[in-house]
Amino acid sequence: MRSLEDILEEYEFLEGDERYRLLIELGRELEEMPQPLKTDATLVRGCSAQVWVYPTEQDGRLHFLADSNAAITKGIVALVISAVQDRPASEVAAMDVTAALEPFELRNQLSSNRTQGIPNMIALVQEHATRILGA
Amino acid sequence: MTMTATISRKADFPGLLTPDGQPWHYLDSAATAQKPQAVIDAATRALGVDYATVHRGVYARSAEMTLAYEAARRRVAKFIGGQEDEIVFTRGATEAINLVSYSWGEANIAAGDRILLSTLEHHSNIVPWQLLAERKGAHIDVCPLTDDGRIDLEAAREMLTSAHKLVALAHVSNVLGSVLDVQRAAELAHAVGAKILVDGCQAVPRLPVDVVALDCDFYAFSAHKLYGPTGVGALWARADILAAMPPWQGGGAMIDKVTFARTTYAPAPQRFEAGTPAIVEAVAFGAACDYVAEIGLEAIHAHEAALVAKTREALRSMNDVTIFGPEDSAGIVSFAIDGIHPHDLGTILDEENVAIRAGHHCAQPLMDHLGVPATARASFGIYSDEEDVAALVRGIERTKRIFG
Ligand SMILES: Cc1ncc(COP(=O)(O)O)c(C=O)c1O
Repeated sequence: MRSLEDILEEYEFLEGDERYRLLIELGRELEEMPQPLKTDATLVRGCSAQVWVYPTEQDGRLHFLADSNAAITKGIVALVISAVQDRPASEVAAMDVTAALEPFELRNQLSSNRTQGIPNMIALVQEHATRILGA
Repeated sequence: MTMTATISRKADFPGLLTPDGQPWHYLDSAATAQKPQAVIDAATRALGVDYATVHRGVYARSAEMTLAYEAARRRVAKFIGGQEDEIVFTRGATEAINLVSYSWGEANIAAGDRILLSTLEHHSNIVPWQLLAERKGAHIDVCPLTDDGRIDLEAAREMLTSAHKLVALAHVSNVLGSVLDVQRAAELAHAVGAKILVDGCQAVPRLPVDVVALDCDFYAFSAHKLYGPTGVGALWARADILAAMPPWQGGGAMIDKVTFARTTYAPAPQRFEAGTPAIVEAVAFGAACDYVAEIGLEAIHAHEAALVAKTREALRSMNDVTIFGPEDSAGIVSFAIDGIHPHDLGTILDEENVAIRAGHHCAQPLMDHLGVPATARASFGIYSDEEDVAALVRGIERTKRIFG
């Protein structure tokens, strides 16, 4: 999986439609989340686009499976995942994920909890990391 | 017949510009309408130079405000063909429906009774009845839709029995725009001895409404979809029904006399307006009725019908678009594009200064029926015009190119 810095470098080069195409492509490249894992339990609250997250852990590193039924949203999900994937829980818990996504200028997509699953997804990922640390 | 949109009222609405002064193509009036300057001015005066409480003060300002508040009640009553003592000011349609479910419902629904709703209802016209049914051991039946998305009144006729005490239906669907034949629905309800509540949220801004001619028992709506402020709405109920309803919320202003031994209540509608009401909002609600009535609902309906026709025609010419709802939808067009989630469409349209709604529109049972998790919805108002439709079409084409 590409690093967030690497993606940003390409993203900053692009304009309008091309940025969306890149997000959609990142979403397509996201590790597949098996259908049976997409349940009410893994569904992130959000009104119009659905987002699912399933956290796993390997050798003290967090690994997330995630998906969305909206393609641009899924691209943003991929950005979040690339920020946190396969890192230790301590690192994820301390990370400011929203700030890391700021250069992508997705403010509208990241601002509303009610319609957007993304802010809830970020919160969920970090709560999970905190819980692992506490356990 | 070719129809053209004829009302040109954009200039009355300061909200229709982006922060940098570009036109904002606001196509979400079914969620909430933008406010004309006349309403903003009425609210500003009521909140400023005219401000005082109602029903209490001995001083002139309060007496004036009481007159203004009661004039607003008369104005709202007249707007839908009712009498002033038949209008209860509520927080909105949601509270109006909850008021009926708690007050009338407590007194009139018993175990084994049935309530008929339809597949296309807004959650506001579903959940209060589910709560009532749970409290009382009553049952809810769901009237299906016709293929083109209308409430199937033939099916309703077959479903209704003497166990039905209430029929609660939307006058205009907030997703499909389909218009209910309220008169016919009322006739069917009354034939089995049931009352009928009509959720008029989407109808009052787009159709002439006369509750007497419609022969309904309850009519609920919100001011904010009618170009008025948020935080206020109305329940209209036939005078004899309202007079017999027990209080719901207790507090100041709704009482006749309070002692710890026994409290007696004010007559309707005051009995249902506990506490200091939304004074400013009610006055501005009255101003919104004036504004809309001055333009005329026949004209508004024709205006929106022309925009709906134009939008449907443009969408139909794109072969990968599904349009939901009947041809003669009132002011609302819901659609889906193959392979593009409405949320993604809404995101890209937003960049084009086009605001649509993407989601389940608080009508999840209807989404299940349509077999989609969400739809994209464009809805129109007095200020909408053909440039808004053109901007929508351009935005859809751009989205399709991005996804292509
Ligand atoms: C058909 C319908 N019923 C009820 C409501 C609820 O209205 P409010 O949220 O203003 O109480 C709405 C609006 O969202 C609606 O469109």
